[in-house]
Amino acid sequence: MGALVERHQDRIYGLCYRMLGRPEDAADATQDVFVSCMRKLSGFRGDSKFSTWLYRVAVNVCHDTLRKRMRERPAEEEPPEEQGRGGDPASQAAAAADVERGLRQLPEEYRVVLLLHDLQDLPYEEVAQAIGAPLGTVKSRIHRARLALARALGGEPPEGSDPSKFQEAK
Amino acid sequence: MTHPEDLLAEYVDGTLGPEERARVDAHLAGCERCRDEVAAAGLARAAVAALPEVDAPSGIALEVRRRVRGTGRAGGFAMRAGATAAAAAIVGVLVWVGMSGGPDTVGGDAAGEQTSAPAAEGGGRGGADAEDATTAEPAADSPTALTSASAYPKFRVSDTSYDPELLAELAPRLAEEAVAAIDAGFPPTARDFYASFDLRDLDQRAGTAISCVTGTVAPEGIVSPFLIEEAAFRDEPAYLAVFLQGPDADAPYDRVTLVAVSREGCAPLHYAFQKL
Repeated sequence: MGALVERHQDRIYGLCYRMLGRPEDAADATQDVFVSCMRKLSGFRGDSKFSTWLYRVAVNVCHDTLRKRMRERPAEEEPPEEQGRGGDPASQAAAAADVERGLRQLPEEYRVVLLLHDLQDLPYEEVAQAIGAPLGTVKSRIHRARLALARALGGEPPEGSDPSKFQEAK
Repeated sequence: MTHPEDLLAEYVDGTLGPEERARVDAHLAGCERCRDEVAAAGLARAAVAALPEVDAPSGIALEVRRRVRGTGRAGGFAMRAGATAAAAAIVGVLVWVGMSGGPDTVGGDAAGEQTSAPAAEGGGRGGADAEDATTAEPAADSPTALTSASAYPKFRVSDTSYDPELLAELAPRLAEEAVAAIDAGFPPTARDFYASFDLRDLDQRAGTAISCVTGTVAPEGIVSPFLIEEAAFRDEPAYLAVFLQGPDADAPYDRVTLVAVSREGCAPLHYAFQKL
């Protein structure tokens, strides 16, 4: 069991941390992911990579955590602690903090696809499996999520590119 | 003007094929809006990709282990295991699953009864190429000749290089062999198996192999070793371990589990199963 957790825990924790924004919540969620997987091995249908299944469980755990948080602490807004590896120049740390802040401003469904694809390098197909959405939806959602993040980061909003007016491919 | 929104994410990634890329390039040449979007999306993508990695805090594995073992009867797969020792064995199998570096295909689904690929004629290359080796008993392809736990796991050597597809093909044949072996007297439950199994009965080569493949699975667990084959997986020297597995140590087996484990370091490589 230790090998399983150690192999995947940094990526799962990294996803949970950036989805949830708080180290303590991310640690709890990471535990929940592995415990859930171990109890539901028979639910692993084998039609995806095990790591993708793990991500799917993680996405669901994060979703449940965020939903629970909204019920319990709807008005609370806390910046996450910086957890980057040591040695970053101050400017890079500041840039990372800006990106973290921008990600937190995105809707959950945008944030998760960016984290899975652009940060964790999951291909589109695996992102689709992890979030349970059609491939076309994932591709269009990633593009719109990037545009939304670009706007949140303070970049020039592309003229005529209001992401909300795009229809997701099905 | 129709904007190729469904292609722009892949365009930014640089993963479009040449024809689609040319199509997008042609569109961008005349569409300022899409050019701006591509530029903005590229910056956002780079910003996310540049985020520093974060390390999970220490102690997660320990806490997960405590929770799994402490609530072994709580539900799902663990509940069916029915005992802490059994849960530990399941965890061991999970370790193999988790360590799979490849496609991690499980040859069968939770509700179904067959692998995703049909059994190859004659059982696939694994059976065809295998040759008997230093097993406690001969006749690696004749499980019905071996009717006690002391005759198992069968051990054989082959030059087969397995891959996920081949394991998926092999699984149904092994399930048939397992059923035949059980009919012929193979101990019907893991508890029965381990009542008469002694690792010291195996010769050194087979003992080394089974020690490697069992790894974190306690011998008292719910998986009974059925076959160990010294072979390769994707050209990497590996053991193919085949276990019979039931929902708990006292229940009849309900699946055959195949695990490929590297011979160097005993790292799990792939996992598959077939319902009996």
